[in-house]
Amino acid sequence: MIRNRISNRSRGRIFKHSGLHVFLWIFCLSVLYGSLELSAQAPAADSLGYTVVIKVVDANSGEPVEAAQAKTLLFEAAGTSDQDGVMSIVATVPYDVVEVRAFGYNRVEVPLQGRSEVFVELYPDFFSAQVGEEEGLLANFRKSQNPASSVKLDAFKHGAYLSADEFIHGYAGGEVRSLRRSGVSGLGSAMFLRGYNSIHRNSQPLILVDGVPINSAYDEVSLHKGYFGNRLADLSAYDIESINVIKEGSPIYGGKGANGIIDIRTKRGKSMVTKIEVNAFAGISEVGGREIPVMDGDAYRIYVSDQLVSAGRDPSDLAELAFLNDDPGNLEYRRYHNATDWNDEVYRSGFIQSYNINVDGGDEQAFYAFSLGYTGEDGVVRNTDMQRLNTRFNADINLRDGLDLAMNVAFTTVDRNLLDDGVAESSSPSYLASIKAPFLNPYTYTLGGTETSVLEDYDLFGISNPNALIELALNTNKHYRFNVGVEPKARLSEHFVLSNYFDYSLDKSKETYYSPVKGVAPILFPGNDDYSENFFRGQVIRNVGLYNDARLQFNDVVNGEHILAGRMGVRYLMNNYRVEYGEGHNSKTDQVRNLINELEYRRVKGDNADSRYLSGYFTFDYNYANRYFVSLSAAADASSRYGADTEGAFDFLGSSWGVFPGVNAAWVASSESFFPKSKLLNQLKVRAGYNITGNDDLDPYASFTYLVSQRYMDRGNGLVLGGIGNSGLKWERTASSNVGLDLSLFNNRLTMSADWYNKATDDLLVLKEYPQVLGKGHYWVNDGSLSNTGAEVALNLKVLNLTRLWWEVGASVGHYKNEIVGLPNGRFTTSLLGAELLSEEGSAAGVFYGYKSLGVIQNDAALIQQPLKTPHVTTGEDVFFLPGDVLFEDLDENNVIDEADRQIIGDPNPDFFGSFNTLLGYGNFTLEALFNFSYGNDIYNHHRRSLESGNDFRNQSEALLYRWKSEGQQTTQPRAVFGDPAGNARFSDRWIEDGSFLRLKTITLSYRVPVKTQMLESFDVWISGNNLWTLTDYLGRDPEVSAGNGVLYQGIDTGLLPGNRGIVGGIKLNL
Amino acid sequence: MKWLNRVFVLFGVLGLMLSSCEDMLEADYNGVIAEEDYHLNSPNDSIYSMLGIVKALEALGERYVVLGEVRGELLELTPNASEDIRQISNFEPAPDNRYADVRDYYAVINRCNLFVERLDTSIVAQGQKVMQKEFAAAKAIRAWTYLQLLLNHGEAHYYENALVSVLDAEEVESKSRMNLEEVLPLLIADLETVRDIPLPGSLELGEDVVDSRKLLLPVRFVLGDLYLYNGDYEKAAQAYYDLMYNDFLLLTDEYRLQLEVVDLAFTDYFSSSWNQAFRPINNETELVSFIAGSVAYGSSNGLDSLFRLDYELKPSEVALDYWDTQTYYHSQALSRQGDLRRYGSFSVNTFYLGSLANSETRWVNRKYTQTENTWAVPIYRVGLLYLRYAEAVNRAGKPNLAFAVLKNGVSAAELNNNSIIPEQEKIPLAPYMDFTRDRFNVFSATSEINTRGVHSRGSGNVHNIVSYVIASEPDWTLQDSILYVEDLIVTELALETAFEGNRFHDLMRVAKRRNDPAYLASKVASRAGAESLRLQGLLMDEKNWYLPY
Repeated sequence: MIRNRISNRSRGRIFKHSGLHVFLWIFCLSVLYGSLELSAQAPAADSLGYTVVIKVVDANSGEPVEAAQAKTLLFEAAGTSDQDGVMSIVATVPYDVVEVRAFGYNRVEVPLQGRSEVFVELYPDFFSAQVGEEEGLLANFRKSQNPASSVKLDAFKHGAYLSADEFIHGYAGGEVRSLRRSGVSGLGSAMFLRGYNSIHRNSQPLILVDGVPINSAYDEVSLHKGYFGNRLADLSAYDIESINVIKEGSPIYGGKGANGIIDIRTKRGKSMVTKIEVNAFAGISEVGGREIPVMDGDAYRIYVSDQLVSAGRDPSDLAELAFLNDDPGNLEYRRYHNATDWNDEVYRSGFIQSYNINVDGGDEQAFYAFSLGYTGEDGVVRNTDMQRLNTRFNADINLRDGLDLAMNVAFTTVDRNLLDDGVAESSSPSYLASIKAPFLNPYTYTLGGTETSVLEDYDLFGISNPNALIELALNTNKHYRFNVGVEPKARLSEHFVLSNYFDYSLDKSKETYYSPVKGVAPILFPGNDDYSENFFRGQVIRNVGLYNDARLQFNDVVNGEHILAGRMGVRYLMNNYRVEYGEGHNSKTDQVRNLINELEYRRVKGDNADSRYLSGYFTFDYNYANRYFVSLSAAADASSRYGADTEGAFDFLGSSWGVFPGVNAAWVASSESFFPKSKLLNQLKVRAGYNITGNDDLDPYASFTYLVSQRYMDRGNGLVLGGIGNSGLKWERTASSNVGLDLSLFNNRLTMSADWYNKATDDLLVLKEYPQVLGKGHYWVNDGSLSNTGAEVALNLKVLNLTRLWWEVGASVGHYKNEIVGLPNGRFTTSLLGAELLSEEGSAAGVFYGYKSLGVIQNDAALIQQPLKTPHVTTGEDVFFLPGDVLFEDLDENNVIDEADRQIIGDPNPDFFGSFNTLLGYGNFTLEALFNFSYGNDIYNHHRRSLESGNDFRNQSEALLYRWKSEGQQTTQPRAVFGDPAGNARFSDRWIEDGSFLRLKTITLSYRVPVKTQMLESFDVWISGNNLWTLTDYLGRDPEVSAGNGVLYQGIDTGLLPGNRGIVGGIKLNL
Repeated sequence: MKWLNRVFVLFGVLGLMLSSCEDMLEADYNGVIAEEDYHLNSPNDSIYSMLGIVKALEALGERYVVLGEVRGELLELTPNASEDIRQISNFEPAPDNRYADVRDYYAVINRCNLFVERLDTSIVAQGQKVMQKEFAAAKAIRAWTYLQLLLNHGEAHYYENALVSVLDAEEVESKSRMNLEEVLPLLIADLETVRDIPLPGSLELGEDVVDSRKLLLPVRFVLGDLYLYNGDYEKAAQAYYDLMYNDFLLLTDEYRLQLEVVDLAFTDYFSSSWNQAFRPINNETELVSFIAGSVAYGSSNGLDSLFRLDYELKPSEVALDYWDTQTYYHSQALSRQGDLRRYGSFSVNTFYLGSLANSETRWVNRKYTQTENTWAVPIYRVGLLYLRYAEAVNRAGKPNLAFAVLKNGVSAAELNNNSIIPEQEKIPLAPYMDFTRDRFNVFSATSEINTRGVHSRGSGNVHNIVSYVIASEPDWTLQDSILYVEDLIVTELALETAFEGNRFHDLMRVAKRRNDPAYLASKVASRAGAESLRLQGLLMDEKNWYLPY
């Protein structure tokens, strides 16, 4: 009794959440009950075991399955079915589980539950596999026995996937919130597992490729607007064996695990039969989404004349302007009287082609897998393209008895021609296509009125010619990655294996960016009256990674039922990340497009951020009789980024070490003898875990005080205090609790996995201002906390299993609630792309914080009663609202619309999100469709704001046709005034929209050609459509948006290219 | 148990790895120098660091002009003026006003402290303690920065150690702030230890800054100013004098504005070399120190925006009156209204505001300069040095000597002329007025004049003009003459150094010395038109002279 109380209290301390607490009690009592049961039953089984008769039939026809194989998982016993589908095996214990498999069918696991006769129904392997061995972080395990929360994605069947994140996007939509970066191929998506565990630092999961952490460079800044150098695009989707999404960041990755882990494994040779797989596809695409319609030439002419008048231009002067002069005899008439659809100038049909060959095979000495792939694409924006060449060689060599060597070598190059994307006034052709005057032409005319091939210069409104950018820019990104890994593995004894994984990788990207003289509006240098007429930028980024993981593994089975496994090891990671950047202006000719000495305003800069990380880890797994699983793990991490005097760490070898422990447990209730033997509920596993992990994405310079060289004048360099360090700086710490349930129901027709979690993050990294006596600047401190609570459900249902018709549906839905618990000053706001984002205790990080609009002020009447004013943006002088202006809510009722009237106007976090897929098979045909959706998230439509502000000479959306012009006019569109003195276009709920959507992401029809020869094992042809259908009320181009990788960038639409709409066809040959 | 042996081998290997772990976790930061590794023991290191101080000082250039002039009476606002400038001009600065940020001062101070702390002054090269000069220069910049902080904000946290951690800084801030009177003796004591150490050697810094020494501040000038604020007039005079002598700073007739005379009549043409003086590029002898910065892409010149691009400021009527009420003399017989320095202080430009709007006339300050690569704000120059010297000697009881600085110039001839400097002011001859030394009389052999009166720079040959004298009433005491000359000096400071950033502090210094807030209040209020009463009232309270801290 006393012992019980103590254990109760100590558990209470560890598990803060009472729901979890109750659950754990039930769990423990169940275990107790289970073991009592066991002790009661155990004597019943005699030492020779007892005989179980297993009958295996086809789930559809009920016909017996011949040559099905069964084996017990605990005490070894096996059998093969006869022509009646019957076999008998001698089981040692009544609670063992048999795995039954047969050619052409999916495996099943059947708990014996003390029965002497077992009836097993098998489903064809058309359906997704639900049981089997999987590769875990450190070792293989059986899916049904995994105590941690994770989801495994197997190699895909067909489709035009370029990288792993696209694949995750489609299949794990509820478990990984992934936000597509843009429609440019291979850019992938920003991925978040279980909410946001950080505000200012990386919140995206750790990515492992074959166990090696990849430097995802999430905060790398490309020279190209809207582009991100996605490291996952280095890996061909055809090389991927599996993707394991470990949602509950396993503590053995300690300070790197808080955001979860995506563990990608590449294909390895498995059998001695040489297999060759050839995949090829090609397709066409067009720009996806829906353009915001803009005014035509005539409407724009009226609009721009109004703007000129409101800018102070005398109306009587206007007729002098050539674009308003409708006399065809005018010399400039042709230049200003066109009907150009700028979208036709900028966009084209894209074309993609890809060829991949994968070979694997081996002999007694070695297995190997080799692949070679080429993918080429012409983008939907003219003059943009991508070419990728990838090759990989994985080998597993048996050197001699007990000594193996694994090797991975891979090389990828990705070359791109890019153009700026999104809202960028002078450089993004896709944006220019919207704002450029439709009455202009990309090329000049001769005096006789014939069009030439000479590009027009930027126009009198200061807007660039998109064709000039397309033709003259030299915007490239050349990237390559090489890595080689070796892992000797020695079996020391029956129980111990020693291994050491070493990996070297080199990533290099070289970017050039050129902004032409011709056709591009000059840019005023800030604070200066000099212009940049053209400029060149170059950047080289290089990352060298060294990784070593020395590991000792232990396995033992005691008395057949106590299965023990332990691993301990030391992991070392070093990344040297170097950036070199150069820029120069005003060569004044488009003939010279590189960084030469003669350029003006030249500058170079660079960074060289080294980081080192050392971690000792261990795990200990205990499995009692395949029913009770407990896994303990811990890691101790030291990092060059941690401060030297870190609290909550221990000192060792001159560094601070953080400790990250965790425990996960599971109970396979369905294996218990007392478990109801029913077809309704075939399998039940409950899981619970409590893990402490960290986020070690600290600024590399934040923990020490340093001096840095700064440019002084045009020649000198001065050594200034670069940063005052915080030697107590440490990781963000996340304590997560998880409970989960895995079920298999209705004769294994429905499998379901559900999880509830709470992640409490404290020691958040936030920037604080220096004490004044240090001068201007900020330093990082660990101060603040937040939580993410949520749930995930994944389902898989075999809807139809008929003779020639099969139908499976799968779905995954996720929900999280992000809440800031504590902040140094309770709140802060962040200005980003014209938005104000509020992070405040009690609400989610980065909610939209602005003004609430109450319609357009229709007439003077109300204003005479109560004049409403607002401070001018720069001078601060009072500006009075006039009819036609937007009526903003005056929260403090002082008749002044100012910062005090801002309120929360939207939340970028969805209520729920996810994906679902259906797979329909008829004979040799398969039809697969993937949908994804998001519900209840708000989007700040920065793109539409720039097209509906009505405050300058840019062409605007058709909404401006309904702009307020005179009193009594009923409209929701305010007047258009140059410079927008009343701030009608300020950050308000006018630009916040519901971003909910449902999208048919891909639909693929494939056909297995019924040929089978000695040479050809199978031959599939397929055709696939992407982004063909979307249901949304969102007014922007595409509701799937991510303006960057940081937490605060999610939910901002900067008008990046929407996901392409396209059709791709391909073949797959297995030789 | 064969495997056990292998395990031992493994742990042996791991042990070896761990023994070198400290290195394993030591990241290479190639681009930066950790503070604990920062030691200055070679001249190259110290130049690199000195430029770091100067780089930090860059942030104070615009501020110096804005706080010194927008609060004075010589500038007024245009309708374009931003909220921040408006607040400064109206003496109602909000705490978040960008010109009221104390942190930029502390950035310089702390950088100097770190430099001084880590500099190894014992290093000897070619028989000289080479690092001493940088040591002194850093102390001068530190003292000047403290002085600015105190003059503008009234109080400061005084610390001499280098702050390299937030904890250090918090400790400093936990102590109470000190005012100017408390800090002055500390700064003076600190600078007196290095008062005779000259500036370090020159370095050519790119195309525009030919002499890097001009980016530094001479110890004696700063020390002179500190004495002046502290009421140590003789010591101040001595410091200025020593600077004139040692650095050969003569106020010659080189930088004058002169009207052309044809047939004993003025033409409209005037020659001016005066504005040359403000250009750092020309390595002019007039300019002693300036704060300069680059105008390369990304680094802007705030003054150019204020005066020209955004056109937020223009000269006030009062300023124009100062110049226009002077008389320009060619000779006793030929004179004309107006001091020509008006035309050197600002220019009138026509501005085109793009194709879609009209042009506009703008009055642009000519005192700050901007070349293709550089902007520069003068801090110290010879004209100012002589006026400061005059202010000091006047208060030291020598108004005639002070007036001679305005009218005649000072060299042996003037000193020996009892009608210029009467005997009671030169017997005994104070060391700070020994203008008989060769350096002050280099041109004696030629017909050229050794030194000129400051007033002659814009008002012609005033040294010959009988009417330009210290006024006198029968019952005037020495003190009355001193006050009279001081007023002349304050006016001359406006004529000579308008828009350079000294004005408000000059008025403050004199008002404090006279214990007469109205002196400052009425002068500043004179520019304010309808607002003048409000401003006068506000400024009668000395605490409104300071920006919020």
